[in-house]
Amino acid sequence: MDPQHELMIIGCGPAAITAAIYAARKRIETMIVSKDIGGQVATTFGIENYPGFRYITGPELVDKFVEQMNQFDIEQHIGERVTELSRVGGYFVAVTEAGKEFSSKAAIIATGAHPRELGVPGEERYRGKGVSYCATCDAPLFADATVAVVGGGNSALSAAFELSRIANKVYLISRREWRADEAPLIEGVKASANIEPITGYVVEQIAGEEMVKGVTLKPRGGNGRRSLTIDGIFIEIGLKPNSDFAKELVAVNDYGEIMADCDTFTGVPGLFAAGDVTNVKDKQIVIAAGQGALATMGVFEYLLKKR
Amino acid sequence: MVDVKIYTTPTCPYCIKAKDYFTKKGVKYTEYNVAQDRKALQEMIKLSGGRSVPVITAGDEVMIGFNQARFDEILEEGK
Repeated sequence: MDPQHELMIIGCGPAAITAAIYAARKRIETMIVSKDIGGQVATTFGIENYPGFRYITGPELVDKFVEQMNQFDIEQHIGERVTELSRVGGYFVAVTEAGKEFSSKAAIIATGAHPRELGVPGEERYRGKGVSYCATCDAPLFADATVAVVGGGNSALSAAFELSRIANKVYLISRREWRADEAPLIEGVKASANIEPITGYVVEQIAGEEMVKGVTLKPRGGNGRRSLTIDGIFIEIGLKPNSDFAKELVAVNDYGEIMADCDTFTGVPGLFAAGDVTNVKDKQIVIAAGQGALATMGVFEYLLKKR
Repeated sequence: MVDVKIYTTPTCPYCIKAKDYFTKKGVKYTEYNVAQDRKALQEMIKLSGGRSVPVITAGDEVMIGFNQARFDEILEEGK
């Protein structure tokens, strides 16, 4: 049986939307399937490094992406999460959570990533009850409170700095020396009297009653647990790629990122991967968009050869 | 039409996303900025049992975060 589509794009963030725009302009018949629109961009407060806009909010940039995509006739299935992708008789078959099935000659995976969880007791139970993955959203709710931030990268330091201006006291917990490399940010954190860095510790448990009340830390080496009394804890330990549904089909690295070459090719004929779901070194909107374009170029060549 | 309230902070992108959607759907809503309105913050904590925005109430239902599919259902039921 022939597949339903020439190209299936999974995801609907900057990589996927760019891929769709390029595909439409190359007259490749395309469908897009995604659990939501805009991915991480939709929940980013402000963006200052996407060319063409000195400053734009995440939701506004997504609207502009979607507006451009919607000039073209692209079949869209939004609100459908793909749970399985396989290759059957040379074609790709995707199955969604709701049990829908889509097939195509070529496919692009651009499902992005989501905030990584700690995986410690209490984390799930107190999610939204003091455990937060969005400092930009929830920081203003912790006025005069004592909070902890977990992580040592730019996002963790940025959350700690933001919180230091609202909360009474901020513990900045990291398992090793900070990885953050934005000099003004590091200086800002160091100059904030109410930020107390706790380096060389990992979170063991988050405790509370109705809401978060405390956290237990243990040193990476040796003994000497520490207990902190806190009202909230912000987890900023990086991203987890949304690649679970494709792990049977493509190779992933230790972080779960889909291995793609510099042309976004996965090694599976007709299958490309772009943006934050891949092993691309840096996760940036403009890089994801560029990779989306590359992926469609790859698809175009693949489909030509198959004809 | 169901009565819709949303508890927000000015910096929360999920809140903006939800409000944009309400506007697109022509849903009237009341917004409480809990970063400034301490009374509304207490009310929100009581309603949701948590400290996380947005909290959305639609009729009798309290939604933590914005679940578009569920929101559409409530709108349909409320017609």
